[in-house]
Amino acid sequence: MAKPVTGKKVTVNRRAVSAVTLIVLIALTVAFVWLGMTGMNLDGQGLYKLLPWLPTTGTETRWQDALVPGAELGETLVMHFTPEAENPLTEEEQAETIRVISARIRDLGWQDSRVELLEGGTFRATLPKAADDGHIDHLLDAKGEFTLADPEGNEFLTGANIASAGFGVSDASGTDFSLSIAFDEEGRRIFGEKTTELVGQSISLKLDGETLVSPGVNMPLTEGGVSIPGFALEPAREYAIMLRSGPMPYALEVGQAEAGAPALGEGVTGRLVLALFVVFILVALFLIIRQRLGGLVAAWMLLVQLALSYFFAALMGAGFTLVTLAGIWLAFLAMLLGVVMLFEDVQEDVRRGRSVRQALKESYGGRGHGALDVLAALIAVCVLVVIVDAQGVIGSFGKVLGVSLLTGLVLSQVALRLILRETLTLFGDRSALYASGVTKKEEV
Amino acid sequence: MKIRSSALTVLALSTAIAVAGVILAFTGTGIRFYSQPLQGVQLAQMLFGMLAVVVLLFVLGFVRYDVPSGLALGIAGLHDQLLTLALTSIVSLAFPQSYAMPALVVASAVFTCCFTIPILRESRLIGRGVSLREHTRDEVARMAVMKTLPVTARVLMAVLLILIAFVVSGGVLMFGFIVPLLAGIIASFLSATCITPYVWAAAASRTRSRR
Repeated sequence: MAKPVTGKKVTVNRRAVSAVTLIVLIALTVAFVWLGMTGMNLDGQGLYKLLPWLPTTGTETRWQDALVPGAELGETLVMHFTPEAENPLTEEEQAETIRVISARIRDLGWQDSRVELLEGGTFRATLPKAADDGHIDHLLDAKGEFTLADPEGNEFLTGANIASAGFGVSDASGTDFSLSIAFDEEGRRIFGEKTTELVGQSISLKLDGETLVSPGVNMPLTEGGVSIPGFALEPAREYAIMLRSGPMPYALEVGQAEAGAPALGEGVTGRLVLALFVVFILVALFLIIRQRLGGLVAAWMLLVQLALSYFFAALMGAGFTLVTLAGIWLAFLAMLLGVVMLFEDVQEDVRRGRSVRQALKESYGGRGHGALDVLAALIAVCVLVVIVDAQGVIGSFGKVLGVSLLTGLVLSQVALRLILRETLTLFGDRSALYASGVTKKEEV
Repeated sequence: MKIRSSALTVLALSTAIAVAGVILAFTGTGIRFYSQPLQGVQLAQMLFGMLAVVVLLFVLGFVRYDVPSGLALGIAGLHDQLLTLALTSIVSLAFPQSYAMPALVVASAVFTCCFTIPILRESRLIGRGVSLREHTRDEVARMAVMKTLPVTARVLMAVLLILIAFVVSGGVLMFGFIVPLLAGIIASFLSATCITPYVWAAAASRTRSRR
């Protein structure tokens, strides 16, 4: 005889589970956005401070420590340079000087700097406030003319034969750095011949006529490149930058650095943050009016996407620049497109008499796939442009856009779907809750 | 492959603008910068990036959908990238550009994907659902454009709001910054509504007639 079942049947209240899930997610969002605006002091626990990362308009500007403003949006450092030349520079020399100053500053990572020629033949560079003027000092007070010479001091190669340059650690201690130089075809031939001739002796690397190092030659170097050890980190970095930019017509006398207004005008950051906030509110209102509860959830996900995008931009050290903002807000648009496509489909189906739950399922299989295609294609584009231009402005933009798009993809395809399912369970699937313009008759 | 005449007219107009703008850009007359001029390396990276985007869009369209879609997406990418560069180059004579210009020209791919992919998807969906005796491919393409227009219009409104927010905050210099984005939107909207669907229609008809 079978034993009678003694255990109690456990029934799960799905609505309660949905309510708890939504409350937890809302609390997490509020906490995340709150932390984004205020940061968290973790010094007491021996941890680093979590800096705020969401741009705000108020007097609290600590977010600028995490998302460092560029020269266009933040305070700037203005530096003046005077050529160390007896006669005024010719037009070609002025243009070349501007090109080299720009190249060296950009190589330091300050992409949004601005270099101009002033009346009187002096130059002015406008850099982000965070720029290290000490570095710039070193980079611009030298012409940057590199030569290689034999032990007698005869120069056999100049910077004109250098195709590329870099630097890296040269020993296990990590304190000694080497300068790596690759030559063009002519340089390769000359360097090969000279090192063959000078085996057992040394060659000297000179900067503006002064010897920097004189390493020994142990064997002929015919591969077209050389790695020269014996530098500290900062000089190695600066010499590599100078080698890449080429020499200036004259060395520059660097004047005192002064604080300046943002390139786009005083108060531009505050106005921009406020204007973009208004845009978000308008978009959210539009979604809520059109899609009601569904629109509210979509606006919530868009807010999370923005907060996460700014967070990742701060983590990547992207800075608060126009390029970062373009990346974040274009990703916002792509996610908005996905959300609008999805809800338009839902609304259409609901008007035809389908239940919201069924319409949502169908929509994710139909136009939802379209949104997925758009986001996936754009992520592929971002990966490609980062490969094409890893260090430049296109790469920086691609990184921010790619990460923001990835966030948008996960939020629109996974999080939005899950949260809509929970709201359907909690509030029911009355059509009027998810689509505007649906009459009761249509609902029946 | 016979492309609808209105699409060809728009394509010819775009080509004329693109040629004029690109000539301006490469002769040094166009693309004025308010800071330092674009250096050769950056220009090369921008062109390389533009080319890479066009090739990728073609491959994506081909792999994800089919040859006609790949062709249409590739042409949309090429049209949008070149027209964006050309329009930016022309407008920069009045509104100098920022250092971000190369990135923002390549960024027109965002609008290409947002406007063109939904239309291509819709065209294929409608194409499967209607009889080709009753509707030509051109009509199918037209239907797809009309069907996706509300969504496109809404996104367009949001883009314009964002661009207005930028201009209101930063004045004339900021307008220079958004010129490539504005040019990208115009180019993408034009290609998505007037060119790409009909290129798809022509390519799809040809593929079908071959079978």
